[in-house]
Amino acid sequence: MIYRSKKFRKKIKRFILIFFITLLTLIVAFPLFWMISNSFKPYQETYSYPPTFLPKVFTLLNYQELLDLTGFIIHYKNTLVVALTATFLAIIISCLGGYSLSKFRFRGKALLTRVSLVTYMTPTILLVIPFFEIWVRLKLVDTLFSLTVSSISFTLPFGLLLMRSYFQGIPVDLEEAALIDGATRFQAFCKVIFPQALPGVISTGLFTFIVVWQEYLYALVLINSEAKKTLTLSIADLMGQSAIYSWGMLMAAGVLMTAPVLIGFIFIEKQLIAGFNVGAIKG
Amino acid sequence: MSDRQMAILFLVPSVVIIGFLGVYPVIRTIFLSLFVKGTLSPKMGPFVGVSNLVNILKGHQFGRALLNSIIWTGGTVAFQFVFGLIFSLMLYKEFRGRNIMRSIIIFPYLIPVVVAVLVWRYMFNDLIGIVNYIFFLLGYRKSIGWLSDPNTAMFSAIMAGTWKYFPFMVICFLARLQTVSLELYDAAKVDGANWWQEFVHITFPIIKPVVMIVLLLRTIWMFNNYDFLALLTGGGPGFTTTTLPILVYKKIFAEFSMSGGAAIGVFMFLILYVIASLYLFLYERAEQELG
Repeated sequence: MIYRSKKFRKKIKRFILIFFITLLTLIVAFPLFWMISNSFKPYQETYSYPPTFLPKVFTLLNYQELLDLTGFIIHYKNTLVVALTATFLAIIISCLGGYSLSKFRFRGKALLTRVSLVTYMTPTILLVIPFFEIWVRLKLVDTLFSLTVSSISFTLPFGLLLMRSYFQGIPVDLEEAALIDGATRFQAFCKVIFPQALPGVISTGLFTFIVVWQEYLYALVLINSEAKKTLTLSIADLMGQSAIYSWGMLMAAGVLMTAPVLIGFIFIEKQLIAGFNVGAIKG
Repeated sequence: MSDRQMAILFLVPSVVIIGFLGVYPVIRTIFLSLFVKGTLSPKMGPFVGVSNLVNILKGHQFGRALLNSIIWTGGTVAFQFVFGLIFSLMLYKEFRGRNIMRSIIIFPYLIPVVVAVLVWRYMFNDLIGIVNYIFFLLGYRKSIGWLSDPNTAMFSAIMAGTWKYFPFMVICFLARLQTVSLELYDAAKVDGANWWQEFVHITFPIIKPVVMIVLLLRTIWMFNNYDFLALLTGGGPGFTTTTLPILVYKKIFAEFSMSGGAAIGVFMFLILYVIASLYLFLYERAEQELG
């Protein structure tokens, strides 16, 4: 009997624990749910008090208005262009640099690793000062080009350290075998090493994409014209209008901006978590 | 092309960008803080030495913003740590539905900053916000403008910031806890250890090296964070949520004083490099400890 009651108590304990975990998880998830729910409510319902949990009347009007009345589509496209280009460049640069740091010995290597760690700590607000000066001098303010190049800057140190640790994990024998078979270093890098480090590449790419996708400060400083705005600026503008016209429309914008990140996350969750373990993304 | 040449060639882009990022801004910021320079004028004003720095210290804005920065950083990091610990301790043991919960917990960290801000501004709204509605249900009948009332703005911002950034801690702690075999806990159970003893003698020692690094990293990032508060409150109401990064922005792009912004920047660097050298020390020690 004692044994059974002990077991029973354990079961109750476990049940309570899982109940609490579920409750807390639901609380964490609530803002996301609330955004999605409200994006489908008609105008009056988003202002209703007491609020309705799920839309009583389901409507796509918020999305339609967002796309028809604001420059959202153009801003979406701009953000995609900037984020994808930055991702592509960050992958190439950090692969080359990370490989070099992991395989060769040279003076100043430790210093470079240290400096890239330190750049983690440099506040973006202070990078804005020299960046702004340089782009002004080059007359490249208000271009997507300057925004893209500036954007790579914050994820590169992370990518570099991440790729270095991935390349270090690849056995030297593998590369030597390729070299003995007559491959040049470059061929060995492309055909043997690079595919091995693919999880790292995906992590670097995804991180860069996520960070650049939501970047605010550089866009705020560098971009002035409506046609070149990115999503963060677009939503910040809508939010900043003295009276918010439609919370539903704003929620719809939020859903559309979050979608690619969440979809990407669901597909490559494993690599993402692995990336978190190796380094740490700035945020 | 020799290996050596290739190694150097591969590194060129990284060195250029990191040198430009890690070294140049520091030098340039210090340099600018010693002169008078407007944001929009291309010409450098006269050399004034440390008088920009002295003026900043004399003015009342800097002290206030520094205090706000400390409250914001300390508050968000402390809450993130508490929630990060709670969630990671709950989520590392096997049970059905664990994986999906883990994914859900990470969501706030992935959601774009502006979107997180948007949702919280809606929820914190004084007239139609759900936060007030929950308080109403609990019997508190006054409507509070969580982000527009000077008394509650910072606290509300800290809560929203905690929600946005705590998953980072969960991920780091979970990753570390995963390296421990569960047998250790079974053994402790056999020995009759309760959950608190388990935590003190097994769990905490395991995550300790990660805890220090994660706390420092988050401290640095929350201290540097511009976009979350700028989008959520814009530093207001009044001066109540103006942290140092927001003050720098205001100096440069509202008062158009590049050198004034740079002078505050110099102080930020000083504070950061103290924290950063601590981080570097712990990072290198943890790398040895973790292998």
